[in-house]
Amino acid sequence: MADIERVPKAKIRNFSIIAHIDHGKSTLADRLLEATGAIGEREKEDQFLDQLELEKERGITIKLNTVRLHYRAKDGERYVLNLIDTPGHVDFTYEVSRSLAACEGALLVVDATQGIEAQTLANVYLALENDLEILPVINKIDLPSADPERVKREIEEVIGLDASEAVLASAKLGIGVDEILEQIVAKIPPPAGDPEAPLRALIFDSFYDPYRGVVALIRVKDGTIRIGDEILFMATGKVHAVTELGVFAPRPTSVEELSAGEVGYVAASVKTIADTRVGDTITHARRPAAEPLPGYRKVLPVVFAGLYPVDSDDYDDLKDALEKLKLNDAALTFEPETSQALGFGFRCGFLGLLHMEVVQERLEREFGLHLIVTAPSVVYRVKLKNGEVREVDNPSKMPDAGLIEAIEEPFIRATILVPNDHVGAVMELCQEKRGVFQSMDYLTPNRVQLVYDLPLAEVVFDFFNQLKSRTRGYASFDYELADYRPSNLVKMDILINGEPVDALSVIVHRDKAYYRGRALVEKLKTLIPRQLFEIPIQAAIGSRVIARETVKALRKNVLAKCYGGDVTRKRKLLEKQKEGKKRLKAIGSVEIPQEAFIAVLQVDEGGRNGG
Amino acid sequence: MPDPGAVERGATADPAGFAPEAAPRHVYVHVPFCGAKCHYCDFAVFVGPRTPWEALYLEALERELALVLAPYGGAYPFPIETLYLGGGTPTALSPAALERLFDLLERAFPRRAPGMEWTVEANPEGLVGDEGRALLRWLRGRGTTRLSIGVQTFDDAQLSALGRRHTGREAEAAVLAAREAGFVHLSLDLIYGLPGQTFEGWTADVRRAFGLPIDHLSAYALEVAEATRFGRMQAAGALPLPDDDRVVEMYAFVAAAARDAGFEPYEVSNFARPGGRSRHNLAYWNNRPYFGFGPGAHGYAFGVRTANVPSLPRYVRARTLSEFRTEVRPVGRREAIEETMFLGLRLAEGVRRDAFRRRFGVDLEDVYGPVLRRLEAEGLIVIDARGIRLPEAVRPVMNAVLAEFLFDDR
Repeated sequence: MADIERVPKAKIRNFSIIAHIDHGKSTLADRLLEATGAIGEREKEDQFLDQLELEKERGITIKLNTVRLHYRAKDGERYVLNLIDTPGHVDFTYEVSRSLAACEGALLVVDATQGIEAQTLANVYLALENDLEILPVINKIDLPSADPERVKREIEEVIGLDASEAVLASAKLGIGVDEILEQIVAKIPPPAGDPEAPLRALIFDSFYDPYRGVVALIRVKDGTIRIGDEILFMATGKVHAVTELGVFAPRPTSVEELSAGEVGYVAASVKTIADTRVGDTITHARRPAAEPLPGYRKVLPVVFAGLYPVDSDDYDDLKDALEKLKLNDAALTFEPETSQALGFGFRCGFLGLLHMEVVQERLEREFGLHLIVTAPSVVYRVKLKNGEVREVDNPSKMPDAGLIEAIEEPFIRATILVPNDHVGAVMELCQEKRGVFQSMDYLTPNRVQLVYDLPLAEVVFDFFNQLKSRTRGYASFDYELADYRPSNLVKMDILINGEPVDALSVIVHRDKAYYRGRALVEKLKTLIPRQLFEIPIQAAIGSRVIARETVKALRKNVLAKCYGGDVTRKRKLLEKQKEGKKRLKAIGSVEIPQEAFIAVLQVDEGGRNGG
Repeated sequence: MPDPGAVERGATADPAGFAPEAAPRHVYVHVPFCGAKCHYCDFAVFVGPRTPWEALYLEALERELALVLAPYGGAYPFPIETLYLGGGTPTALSPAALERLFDLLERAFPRRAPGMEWTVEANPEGLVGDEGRALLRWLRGRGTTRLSIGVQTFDDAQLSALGRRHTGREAEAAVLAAREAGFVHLSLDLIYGLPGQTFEGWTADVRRAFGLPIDHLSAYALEVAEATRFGRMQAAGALPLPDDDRVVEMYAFVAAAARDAGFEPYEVSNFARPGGRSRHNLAYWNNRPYFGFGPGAHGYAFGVRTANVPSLPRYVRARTLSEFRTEVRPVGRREAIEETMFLGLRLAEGVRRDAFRRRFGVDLEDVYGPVLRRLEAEGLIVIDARGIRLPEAVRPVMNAVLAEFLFDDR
């Protein structure tokens, strides 16, 4: 405890790093840690802040981290710099906004070879909303294709920031790191706030620790928090006693108190992460603040999918695994669900598609589960003729068409940045996806910002891949939820061998139903392996079949020569066959591979001309 | 090497359940020489010059025999029931080398069970003309009882497309010559599903085969292996194979034609007149132990499955047993049970209860009860008092059923 140096509030700087994926945020963070001696050579792992294995693999930050740096500036003074990391993906916009709210400044890292991307822009706007001082950093200047002058101009023209003092850096080679540290000290204002006022501390992240319970990462805005204090979580109304306070230096290190301007963690024997909601304000139970800090909202999942174990014996394991993940992931929701086709599983809610993928991968990798994930769905608002309004997050739960007055679906407002020559392709895609044009602005002579309102369900369905392929990767994309709007939607069922497979039902726009149905049965035909009998695959709206394909019966698999006593080869062949079968799910007597359930997502729109 | 004596005494430490027939009674010898490599062939063959390779091969084979039979002083004391010379083309050896090969084998396996089956594989071009007649007489004289002739098809255009070096007429002449030389056990190999082959072409092949004095027919669907000329053609999209449905019709045709000709479909791809079954291949399918000698040969002796190095140059350099082997896999009890099932179910008679019980000390039902009931309910197996077997209609897709007999926890 004694080895944590405290400095007056005027010597504290709280900042984050805003960057597009791959623009070098994690590498820069590592250089800052090294330059301030926060990590020595010996304990240096690449990209210290990215802890999850998955994050390392994908090079993206999913969970927040924070670290306290001690820096002696050129003015001879000792400073404490708190680096608050932000997640770098559209699914986590709210978490980003809360961690930005914990800072007074941000480094805006832009790749000198690429320029500003939509995600960066969105986060810069969030930072500006929070009155942050923004320090432009132009990274990767060591690359031959670097064009720092162009990127500077872009920062000035697109965001309106003064880029004349932008640091030219190469995080990889350690160029510019000292200057960045100096600018942090010189330009980012010290925190405001009164250490004597009633306590107000912002929770910007939390995680579950098996020994401490839930640990909340906080930024103290006003007042002082001490070990033993009775604290009140203002949004949930829960009261707990502080058992531990600390800072990440970068290892967790206990302190006696944290006061206005400081960043650290608090543990208070909180059992569930839902009690420490990101954006909530911690105050003292005996002397509460009059108002919580602004900006709290409850995070609601927007994308839902069914998760089922391939082997129904694994149901309990899946439940345990989801509960364990939930400890660390307040945004994940799940509740038991039964599918006629897939048996017992869970309806899970996610912040977005990446969040869903991350959860699925962790379940498979960390918990060794074989899963079937159904096509993601959004939450439809269904108005019934009797006046009742239902929220439907699972296509198979859609009420009978005869009972429905109207269906509303969530729309997003999408911002797409794209080079001039791909504007046409993006507009075409947005039209196909039932987008409603809002605006088009030339940010620079060569870069266009398009704004469209799009049904979220269409974005969930193959939008990212299409955007990427039609613009050869040059478009970037960000969105926020807009509102609910009525749409002409129908439920389309898939029947395999005459049996409706509820997990394959989808809600589609009526005008697109035929093409989606056609494309889907064709895709399923290629995915369902030939079996010992013929299998019809049909797409139907109500009782009307709109598309049909047939998987012919398996005819041969054994008639070749079994060469002179080579039983081992034969055994390997059968083992492979058996292993392959394990990944299939039996629906009635038909065995369906996992891919079939996500095929709903992947089929080509089928009618660029007609659909 | 386990102590064969102990195994022979019926030792209880016998996980593969061999007792009481632990010592192999079946011998396979691989002769890798061929005139050229056929375009579909994925076996261990050698098309280089006979000199010096024949001599090197025979020396290496002699070493391998000596190493394996060392516990018996180099001469196997148990009577052999079947001996199979496969290839390659054993008859492609020079007369002198053949002479030496037979001498070697007679020294190594001096005891023969009454009525021992001795099969030699041959290609038609080696059995015709004066040289062919001489060879046939010589083989008869040395005790060969059965010939397996690689005909593949009688269609001359197909034959040359396969890279074969004989014609359809030569194939017929070869069979007649063998019959004339006194061979009553004659088998043909045919392949169907060839590139460009029509159903009509196949029916003509089958009719010509059954018009000959043979008592056994092996009919295999073409399997294209990557490392063959056909494999490369397929990768390049230049191999016009008939589709699966057509291939299955071809199978159905040969099965029906065989029955009409008085041949039993005793194994999925093998048909025989009464008394004409390949007892050597039956040993594989009944999961009996056998020795395998020569490059690329597989063996299953004393509870261990082995595979030899396939390359002749590597084979002839081998000095120790481990240099001869590329694979040594001890077979545990569970694996032995699995193999008994997936090999035995290839046979028309399937797996017999009494044999299973004798070998493993438990009933089929004890091991596979739930699997058997499920497969029976789905019509995929037939269960009766004798044992279990596959209905004829399931045979072309039997792998799907065979895989069910592998245990889960491996």
